[in-house]
Amino acid sequence: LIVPMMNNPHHPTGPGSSAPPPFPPGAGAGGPHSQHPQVGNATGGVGGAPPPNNDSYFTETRKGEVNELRTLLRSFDKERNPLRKREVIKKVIAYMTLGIDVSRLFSDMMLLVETRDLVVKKMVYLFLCNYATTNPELAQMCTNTLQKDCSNEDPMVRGFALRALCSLQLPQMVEYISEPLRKSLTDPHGYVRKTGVMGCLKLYHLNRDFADSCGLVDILYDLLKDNDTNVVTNCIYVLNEIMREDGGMRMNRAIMLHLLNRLHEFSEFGVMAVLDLVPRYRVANSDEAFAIMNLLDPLLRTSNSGVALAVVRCFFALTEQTGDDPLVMQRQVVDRVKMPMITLTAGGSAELVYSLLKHVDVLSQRFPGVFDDEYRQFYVRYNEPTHIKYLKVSILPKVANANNAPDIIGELSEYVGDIDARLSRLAVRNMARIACSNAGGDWGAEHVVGKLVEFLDLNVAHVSAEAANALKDVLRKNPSLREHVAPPLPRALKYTTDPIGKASIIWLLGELSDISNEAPYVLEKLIDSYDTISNASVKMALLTATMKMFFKRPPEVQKMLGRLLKYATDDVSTQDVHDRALYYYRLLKSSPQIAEQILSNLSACVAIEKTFAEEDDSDMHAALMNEFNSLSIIYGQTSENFIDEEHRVVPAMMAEENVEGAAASLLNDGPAHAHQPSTNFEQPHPKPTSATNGTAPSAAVVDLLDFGDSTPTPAPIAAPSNDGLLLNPNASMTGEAFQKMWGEIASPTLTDSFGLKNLPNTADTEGALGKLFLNTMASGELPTELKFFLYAQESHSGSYLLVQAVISKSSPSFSYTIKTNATDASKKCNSLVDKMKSALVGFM
Amino acid sequence: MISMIMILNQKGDILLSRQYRDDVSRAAADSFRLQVIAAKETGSQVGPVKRIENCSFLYTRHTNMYFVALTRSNVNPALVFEYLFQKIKILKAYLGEEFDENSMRNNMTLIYELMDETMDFGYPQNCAVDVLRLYINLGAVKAVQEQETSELTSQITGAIDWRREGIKHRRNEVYIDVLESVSLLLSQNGSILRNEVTGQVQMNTKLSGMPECKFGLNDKLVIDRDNYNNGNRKRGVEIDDCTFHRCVRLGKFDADRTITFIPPDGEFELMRYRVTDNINLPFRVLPAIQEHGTTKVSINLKVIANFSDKLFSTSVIIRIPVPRNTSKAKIKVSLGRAKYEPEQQSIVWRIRRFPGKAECHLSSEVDLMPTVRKKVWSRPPINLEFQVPMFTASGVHVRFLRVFDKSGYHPNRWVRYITRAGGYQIRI
Repeated sequence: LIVPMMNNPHHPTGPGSSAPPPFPPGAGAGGPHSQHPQVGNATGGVGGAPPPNNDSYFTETRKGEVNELRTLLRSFDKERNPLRKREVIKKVIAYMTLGIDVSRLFSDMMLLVETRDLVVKKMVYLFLCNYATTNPELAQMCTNTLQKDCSNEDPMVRGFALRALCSLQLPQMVEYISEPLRKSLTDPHGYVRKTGVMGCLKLYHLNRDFADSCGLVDILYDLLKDNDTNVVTNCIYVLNEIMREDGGMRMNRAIMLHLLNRLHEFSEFGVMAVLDLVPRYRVANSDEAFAIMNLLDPLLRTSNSGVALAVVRCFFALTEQTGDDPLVMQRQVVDRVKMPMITLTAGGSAELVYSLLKHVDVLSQRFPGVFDDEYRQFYVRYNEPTHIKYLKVSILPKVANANNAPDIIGELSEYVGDIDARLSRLAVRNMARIACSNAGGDWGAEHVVGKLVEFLDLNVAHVSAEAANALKDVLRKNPSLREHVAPPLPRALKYTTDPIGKASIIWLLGELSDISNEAPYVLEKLIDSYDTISNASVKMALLTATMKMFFKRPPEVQKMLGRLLKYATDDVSTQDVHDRALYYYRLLKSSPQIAEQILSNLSACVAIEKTFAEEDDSDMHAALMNEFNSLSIIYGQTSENFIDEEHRVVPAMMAEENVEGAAASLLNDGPAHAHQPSTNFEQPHPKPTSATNGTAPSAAVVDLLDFGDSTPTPAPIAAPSNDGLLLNPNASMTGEAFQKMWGEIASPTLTDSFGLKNLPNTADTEGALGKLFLNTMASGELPTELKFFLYAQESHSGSYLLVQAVISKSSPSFSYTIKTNATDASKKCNSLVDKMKSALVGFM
Repeated sequence: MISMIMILNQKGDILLSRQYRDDVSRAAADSFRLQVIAAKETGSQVGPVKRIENCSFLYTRHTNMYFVALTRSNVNPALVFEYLFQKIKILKAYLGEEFDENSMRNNMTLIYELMDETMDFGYPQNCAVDVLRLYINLGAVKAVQEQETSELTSQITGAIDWRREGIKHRRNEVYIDVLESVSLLLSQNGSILRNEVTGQVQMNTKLSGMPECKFGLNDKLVIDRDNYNNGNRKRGVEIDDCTFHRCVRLGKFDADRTITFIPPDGEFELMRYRVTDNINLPFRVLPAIQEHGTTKVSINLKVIANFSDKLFSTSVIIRIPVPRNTSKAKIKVSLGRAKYEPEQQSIVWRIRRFPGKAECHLSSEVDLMPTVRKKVWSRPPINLEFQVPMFTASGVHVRFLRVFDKSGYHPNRWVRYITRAGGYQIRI
């Protein structure tokens, strides 16, 4: 429903919100009227309590306009021109959008709902939904009309009316909704069914208990088999939300496989909805995991990055279940998806590129090395939006290795000269990151330090500051490079103004005072002008540096240290500086040896560690991988940090099920099955895994009998391979190969026939069989019969099943001869026959 | 799921909004205006996703309008953006390519209808323009005929949601545009740091019925396979990777690399590809730049067009950077016009028409203002912009487009190629 009027605009909804201006700019259709206040025939409309607005001038104006509209609405019967009718209603809606209260026209508008003009009808519905909460009694009065519209002969009207009825959001309306809603779910038209499914969700939010008592969930599970994929998509949305607290829609193997088999029929948004379920699916065995991955693989080529990323997420989830080392497998996955992801970033819209790069960023940290050879893709282009530039620059050090580091360092140093200060700072920082992670080897680190020292001398304020800061980190990590850093420091201190840069240089001087001869004298100048230093961190750095220097060159430093400690202890501007100075003073007084130990250890302790503690986010990345393809990746934090409790979904794995029980296989449910009752499709309540385990808890899965994937008992393994015939959807075969194979296999594996009621034509038959991936090699129509040569390829083994089929015209029947080189041939042939039967069920 | 879609103008006023859930309020628009729109003007850059008090704002722009999706749940960002783009595409189809604030206001009710039809309770519904057009039409008043609607509903729910049945064109035509953007980064010593072509195949189909199309490029894998069979030796282009519009049968492509599809009616992007090997660079640039002391820089530049002399390049712009303290520059060029543009800190050389195989020169003496302290000139790269019609840097060309329809018509097919610069830089 439209918000603008949900709350009366004259009552600000919260302390932060201000009432909309009396006349929003460009008042559109209302423009001319607002210039000429009309003397309203102030008869006071139904429910038209004057808004508590002090500005009576404007109130009057509005009332005048609204009243004028009412007059127009009332003369509607006489108006023959439907276009003019629309104009009047449009005006009402326009007012509504601007936030003007037109709820007084409610009863007049309701009278107009009886129209054959769909546009008018929809606008009235829109109006109705908007003001229903403020006029509940009146809204209730028009439910009759809506209910009547819900059984209109026109499916569009039925759909619109149902949507409006469910969107009223009036708790007292619940019982009026349930009947039309229930009826809509069995409506012959997909449009109505799909609207009805969403209606179920609205009803659920309106009154949970009532929705539960209606048993809607069971109906929705039935609708997952609907012929119309839009209906199925909505069912998934709704079930997921209704069962949010249990971690999303409960599903079972049959449901998942059915959805996957029909994946190619879904719209892109539908595909994403189905793919969202896959990570929660518990595969029967690793073969099935691979079969699903093969099925999804072609989708990586879609230009819709939402779909492509969803596939990547499915791959990650599935590889975790294959039983192999997930990290190794996932690395292979990243290898596979790398190219498609990069292609999507080339030339896509900025927003999508941003979101893709964020994903690449996480992947490149979780799986170091995979994106290395594509490092040039992360070079910045001059015409890119800045946030993408920043992102790319921060990815570059993560794809650096010994081979490409010289290139990357060279490229980053080009960005340092950029006009955008933030970009050049980022470039400096990320060069340092390469040195710190030692990605470029010793040569790389030395090279970076050389560059950083150059930047220090560049005399561009922000670059020098950033370079100093970066050098500090590099030295903490790699003290062996100190000789390179020392010479330019005294110079740099003079022209660095940025406090952080200044503090870093002072820190470096303290660290390197044994090799930098000038160090004490540069610092002395600073100490003597202590009063002019305003920044606390500079003062702190000065204190520490002077202390360190004191232990290295006591005769030169002693006096200035004394002066500095005096200044600092007298300094009342910052508590920290004061306390630190006092602390040093007392430390020196009690024992200079201990003081030396403490201060000179500062630099040593970090260097031992592999990474800086603050940069170690491997746990975070592991957690983020579970929330791949969501906002979590964009924000770089897990969802509990930014999603309110009532919107958070903790995905739960599908309950384990005994595979023997669920005999469905990847391709067995054709659409033809849609209306056959199937026990598998009832709401999958977590079943006890065996008779002895009667007390299985509701959602949590207790793996008492070791039915887990890691150690499956022989039975579950055998089951799918016996019953399930997985056909490769992309099978292809040349005519020669077919003939050769047909000739080679001497005796047919299976020859039989079944009767048909109606005679199908060639195209229908091919289409129906093709949906189940039984492809046609050749077909022909003879005077008495239709002849087909069909083939299918099994996904697992790659072996082919060849079929010669004849449909006799005189007495419709389907006779077939199957030849195959597959192992376990007869069983596979039988399940192929089942498939053919299910495909042709419409003619039987 | 999405809680609300807002369309704001440049000032941050709501033009239109549709709330699907009641967990966000209209006041959210204010916070968006303050934190995103105002921030943009002050120059700091904000990414396309912004979180304000646990409400995420995902937005994109069209002309000067912001299309914003609000959500409180952990949505799939790509899905939301795809939806917003679809939305803009739909509005373009209804209101014209360059629709603006005014056309939005004038068609408010239509947009409300579209908002309702493309999304229900925060979940995306039918977004195919062609199908939407069937039952949401601008102003044309027509009593609804039952027969028509029943046909229509079967359409709305059909498996091919990007095309409707029964399209008729008097002339059957297909326009194919192959657009390539070539990026190049040359180091000072002339070695290639980066070189890549990204291409798009744009189609505009005006075909009747439900035509089955088969499209072929000179893809190396396909050519090699064909050559193997019939022994002729033509070189194909090695395509690194490609993505397709959803109408293309991906399984078929993976199996034997044929591109088959039933196209949507009108314009769409069929595929996008990348090529990194054997790229024909359209221009060669030979710079010689010398700094004489602190007050003079001499620049000599030779630009050679590397494509056939039957072709020509249009709107060539070459930007040659000069130091910040440049006072004046004497420039001589053999073609086009060049002048020093202080705001860009470069000499900008414009050539409207650059013939193939031609060679152009620029020579310039740049005088610098003396400075107190010597500043190092960072020497940014020379930048080229250009368009070369009927030329592809990757060498890709369309081999065939076959159209099969039941009625057996023969469409007219037109192919056009354009190569543009997408970051063509030479370091000096």
